[in-house]
Amino acid sequence: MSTQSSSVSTNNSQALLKGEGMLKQKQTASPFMKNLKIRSIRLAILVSFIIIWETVSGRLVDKFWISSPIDIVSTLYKWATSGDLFFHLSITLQETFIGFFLGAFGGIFVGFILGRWAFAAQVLDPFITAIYSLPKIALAPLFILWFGIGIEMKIIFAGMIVFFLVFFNTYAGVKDVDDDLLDDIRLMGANKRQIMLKVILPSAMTWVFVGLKLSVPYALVGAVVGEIVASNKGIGFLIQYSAGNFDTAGTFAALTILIIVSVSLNATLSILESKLLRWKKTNSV
Amino acid sequence: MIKFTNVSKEFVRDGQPFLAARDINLHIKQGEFLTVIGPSGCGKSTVLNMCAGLMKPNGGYVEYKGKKVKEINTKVGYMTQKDNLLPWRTVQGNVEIALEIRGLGKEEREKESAVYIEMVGLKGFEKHYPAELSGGMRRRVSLAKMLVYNPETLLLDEPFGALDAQLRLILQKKLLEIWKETGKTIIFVTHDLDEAVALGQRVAIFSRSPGTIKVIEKVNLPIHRDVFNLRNNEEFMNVHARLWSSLRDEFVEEVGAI
Ligand SMILES: Nc1ncnc2c1ncn2[C@@H]1O[C@H](COP(=O)(O)OP(=O)(O)OP(=O)(O)O)[C@@H](O)[C@H]1O
Ligand SMILES: [Mg+2]
Repeated sequence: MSTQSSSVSTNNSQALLKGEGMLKQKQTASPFMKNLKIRSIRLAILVSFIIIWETVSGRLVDKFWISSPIDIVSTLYKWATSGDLFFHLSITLQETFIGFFLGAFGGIFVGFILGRWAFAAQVLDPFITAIYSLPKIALAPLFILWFGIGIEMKIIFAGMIVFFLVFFNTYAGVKDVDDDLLDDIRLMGANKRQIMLKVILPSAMTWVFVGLKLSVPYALVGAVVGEIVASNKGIGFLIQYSAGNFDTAGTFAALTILIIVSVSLNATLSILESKLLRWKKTNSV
Repeated sequence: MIKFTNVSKEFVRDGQPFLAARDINLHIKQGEFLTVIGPSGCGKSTVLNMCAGLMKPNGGYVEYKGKKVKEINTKVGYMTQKDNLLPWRTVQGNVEIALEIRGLGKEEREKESAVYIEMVGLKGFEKHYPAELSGGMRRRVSLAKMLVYNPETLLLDEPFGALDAQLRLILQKKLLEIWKETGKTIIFVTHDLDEAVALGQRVAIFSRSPGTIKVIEKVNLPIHRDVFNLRNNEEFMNVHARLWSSLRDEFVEEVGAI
């Protein structure tokens, strides 16, 4: 692995970890009231935004451009009752999750192998860097050619994006294992398998998790981009189709669904992370 | 039991070879308690590393029970200068790791680890993570983690350096008790001459870098010594004075004046 490419991904992930730590500390500074204050301000911003939008639309700006919150909600309601919402959402989620699991599994697997096998990593380094630095979206047309416009193409597309993110983080995590910890457990007579299970795997876990967390939203991006490029179902298709028919309310409605999905995915991951990486907690109150 | 013959160790620093230890000749008998003292950076940890097989000497050889040490020496328990605790494991999880490796069942592990966690005074902290402990507490976890699996030889690198004077005496006493009961061979590195004389059957003084053994002094105190009341003992004071004068020379040459 070229030191440059791996150190770039290293810094990113570390910055992420640190950024979270700082956020947490600030929140614990004066816990309840401050949280309440922050939340009320956020809610106020959201509500005023929606009110301004509703007031402006049709009066100052033509509805054709910005639709209106009420129209968007009624479109969402229509989709929900007709079953369209559930159908398209389930397609996109399927692509996202299957793509995510395939990519994550592959990324962890290859990351571990190359992390422990320095020679192979050195040989393959330029190839990996080359593929990694390619904007993956540019591959979408090729994927259509190879895999058609069905659900498989989106799964593979999302999976590939996830694969690279998880792979790089896993690789960095495995290389990051403290050699002194390895010596220590070897002195106790551990065999290769025990060293892997008791030191390398848990030690790399933090990094792997950063990779997984980063890549969930990207899996969604992969699936939706795939749908926008070529498809007849999924949220990406809804966006594309509505916009194509000058249906601004439909476009915004589809975007709203997308926001809700990605926010809930991230929230779930945060909860999972704080459970799994409990030993990292700092109890400064 | 452990034998160093003309051992030297070189590191490369800034592209230059750097001699960290030279001409080390030392024979430690089975069941002996040897303490090692010397100026910082003189190569004490390096000597322990070679004994554990974590580093190879550039010249000479180290033998353990008549066999050359060529790879990691799993016969020794090594409490390094740095705490090598696994941050994702609790105190108990860390102490139990060697027992897990040996395949002991959960109940047995819990029973054994409880004994040593209590011994180092950390009862009640079993479920804490290393990040939640003080430096001295982490040292004690490292000690428990090494003692719990009962290796036949102990290498200890400044195990009590971060502890307050009282706790240090208590743990010195415990260590002596364990040594008397089990007949383990112990190499104990310290910065504290009192501690070196109080614990060792022999005390080895290292010269400043590149370190070699300058003096080895026998301490003729009974095996059943009372670490709490040694300071007025005549033999203790004599040995201490002799060692101090030769140790002082090393520091005078190192930093100028005392
Ligand atoms: N891995 C290494 N690479 C390069 N130099 C090293 C390495 N380990 C130790 N040294 C050097 O070898 C010398 C001896 O180091 P060592 O750690 O053995 O000293 P020490 O006697 O244990 O000191 P202290 O009492 O401060 O722990 C030092 O000058 C140190 O800088
Ligand atoms: Mg040292």
